Amino acid sequence: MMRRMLVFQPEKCTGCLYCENACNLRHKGAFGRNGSLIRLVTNERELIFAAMVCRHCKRPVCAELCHVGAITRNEDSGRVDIDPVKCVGCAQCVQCPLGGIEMDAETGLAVNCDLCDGRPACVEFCPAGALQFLSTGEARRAGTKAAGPM
Amino acid sequence: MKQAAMDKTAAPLGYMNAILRVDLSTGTVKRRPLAPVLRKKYVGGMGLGARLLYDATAPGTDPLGPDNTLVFATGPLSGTMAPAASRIDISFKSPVTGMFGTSSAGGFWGPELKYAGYDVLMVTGRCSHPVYLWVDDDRVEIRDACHLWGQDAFDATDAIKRELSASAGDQIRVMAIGPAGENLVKLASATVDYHHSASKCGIGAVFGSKNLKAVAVRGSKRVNVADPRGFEDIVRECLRSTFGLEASGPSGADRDLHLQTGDLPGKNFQTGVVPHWTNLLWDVEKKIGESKRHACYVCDRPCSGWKAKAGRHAGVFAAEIHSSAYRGWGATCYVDNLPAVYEYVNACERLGLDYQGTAVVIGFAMELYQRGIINQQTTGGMEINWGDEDLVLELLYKIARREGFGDVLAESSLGAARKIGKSAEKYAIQIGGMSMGPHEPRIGPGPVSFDRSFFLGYITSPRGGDNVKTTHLAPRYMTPHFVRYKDLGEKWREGLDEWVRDFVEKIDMPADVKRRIYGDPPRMDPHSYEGKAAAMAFFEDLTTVYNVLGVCFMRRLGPTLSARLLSACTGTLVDAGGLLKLGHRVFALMWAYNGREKVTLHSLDFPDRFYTEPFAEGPAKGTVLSRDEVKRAIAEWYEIRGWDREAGLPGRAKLEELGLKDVANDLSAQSRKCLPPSRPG
Repeated sequence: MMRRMLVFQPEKCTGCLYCENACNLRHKGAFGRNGSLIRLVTNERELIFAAMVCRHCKRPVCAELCHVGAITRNEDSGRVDIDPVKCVGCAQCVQCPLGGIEMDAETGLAVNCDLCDGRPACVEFCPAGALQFLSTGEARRAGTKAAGPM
Repeated sequence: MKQAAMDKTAAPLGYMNAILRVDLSTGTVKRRPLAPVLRKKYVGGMGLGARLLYDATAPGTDPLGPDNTLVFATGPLSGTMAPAASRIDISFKSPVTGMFGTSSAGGFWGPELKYAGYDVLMVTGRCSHPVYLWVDDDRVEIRDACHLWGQDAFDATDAIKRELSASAGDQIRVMAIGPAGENLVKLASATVDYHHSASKCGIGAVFGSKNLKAVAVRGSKRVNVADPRGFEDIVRECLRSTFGLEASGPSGADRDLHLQTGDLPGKNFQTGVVPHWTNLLWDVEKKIGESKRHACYVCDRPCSGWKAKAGRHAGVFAAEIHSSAYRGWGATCYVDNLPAVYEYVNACERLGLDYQGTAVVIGFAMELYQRGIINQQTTGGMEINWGDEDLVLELLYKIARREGFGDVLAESSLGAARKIGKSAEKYAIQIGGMSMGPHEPRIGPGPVSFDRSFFLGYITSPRGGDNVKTTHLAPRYMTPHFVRYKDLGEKWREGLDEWVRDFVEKIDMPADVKRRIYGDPPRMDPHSYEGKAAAMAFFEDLTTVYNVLGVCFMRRLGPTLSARLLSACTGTLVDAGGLLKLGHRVFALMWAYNGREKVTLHSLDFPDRFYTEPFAEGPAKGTVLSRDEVKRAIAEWYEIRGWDREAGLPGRAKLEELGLKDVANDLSAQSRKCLPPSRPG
């Protein structure tokens, strides 16, 4: 399986929050901002937008912080997974400097983006094309160096 | 799937099942469930707003008194992923017209109110000192706002976000008034999240009269829909669909056509052309300005904000800018400099002023000065000359603060004209007391971008003054020029018949309405009055439906997709016809509200200028509006609507047919009493 990654281009983002809603619909079956695995941080006055979402790092800080070994990276898919059985909800991993981990309000456990099994809802519904799901090569060609692979 | 969603919540799907009532006089906060009968009959947004306001305010209520009520209503689609489901609809009695006041805003405030757990927020009473309201899920606080009083809307929003949450201010949505609202300026708006606003009907003044500086909301709840999977699929379809209506380009692109054909409200609707109109063209804008597209909640077709790149207005950002800004400031006030227009729009957002209405009022003052009806003595030393860039800005601040001559203009055009006296009223471009939108209704010959129904909607609007709640959408369906002229230039007529046939076939409109509007075979003639009454009725109902559902009417979802979205959302099957009937019910209810206030459709007409003064210059020279044609079209409209032409209102039979028997009874009882008409000014 070719490794693909979520790429966010802030200059294209219009701040519409389709990403958060699509994520919530996919994972919770309902609409809202709370509990979304992707979060758009916005400065409405200056109209600056930034998507905070797990970047499935090659060497995940969250996994290093986790003392029960609940966070692992699947080398085949390149995805960082959190095992809900092992997770104790200590929230150490929330220290992720990129804001990629949320504590689920209902279960009290850590959750991160699961890439919707290869078809991310946030990417599908992003009307501005600011969020894309690209291979490393495509990301480089699209000139998304500034945003960096997520 | 449906069952699963039902189990999660006791609230009916698509709703939060709660009305929050706040009385600022007593400081009481009550939370009540949304009665099923209200939900079924009026659905949401403008529908709920109209009904709740109708019940909450007695006839003759003082719009600036404590009894007036602000009804903030979301729709069933608000807070879902339906395209552009961002609107918050606010109903109140208007201090400008004494009629039903309705104003709506985009941004993120409406969906956030729903996430906080409320379909409707009603604010009544008056606090003894400035306050703001903080709705944080179930916690509702009336907080002191003395330190915010006097601040502009941007700074007040910043301060509120900071004091409520130091770290996550972006999750708090604020609707705030500026100095204009505090000073009860009739042109005052409420600014939402900096760059959006609810502008019309003097809403800011109603906030101000209650000593209510702002309403801040934050919500962490979720909106459940009946069929999430189906809903998602319909949204996907909406995002793809174009209905053949999308060729008109980004906002502002149609402007060139107005400029070229001399269909502008130049010099307070005197001339039709602006001398240096080329300064306002779209191509110029692209050179001098930098655009930033920013969306309201779940909008896939965002509007653009503009910032001047260089010059003395460099860096000033006008976020909420539409072509009416160019027509208003550029033509009506004769300021042919785009960066100055950005400056005005920005100032209006901060001061909390309706930029369209204020532009028309300043244009009116300029004409009075030109005619010598006012002079430097009246204006406190100001020379109010056409196109004076700095003066316009100065006047904006004076109006918002009610300083000097600004105090007179703060009463909006009709109120100001009455204060000034002499023949000033003749030049006040207003309908029913509200300043007209900066659109020129005479319509010159040749390619135009507005059609007759667009303007006729000005005199059937339940809020008076403009067509945003009636036929604003019409040109997208009614004029081929609007869509084709820009792309095809002089060749726009080539293959026109075929294009029209194809277009009419594609658009989402009931077949019988299509026949009435376009005829058979379909024709499209924006200059003719034929079929325009049918178009008015259709667009009035459709626009009302959008306002009821909580979606932006500019997104133009069409009745069928709207009905499918609503069905998937609430789980109750509705079709396009049912939705349009709902639109008619709410539209009739708003007029019944006016009827109870002794205002009828007969009180609305275009200012005499349009009937008697032909355009003095430009390509449209000599054009005038025909009073007979307008009368004929309106008579036809009554027939299509089935309303009582003599009374100028929906009659008893129609009201009963629409399920508004109690309202019909009220109106009959009312007409037997002898109340003085409650019109301020």
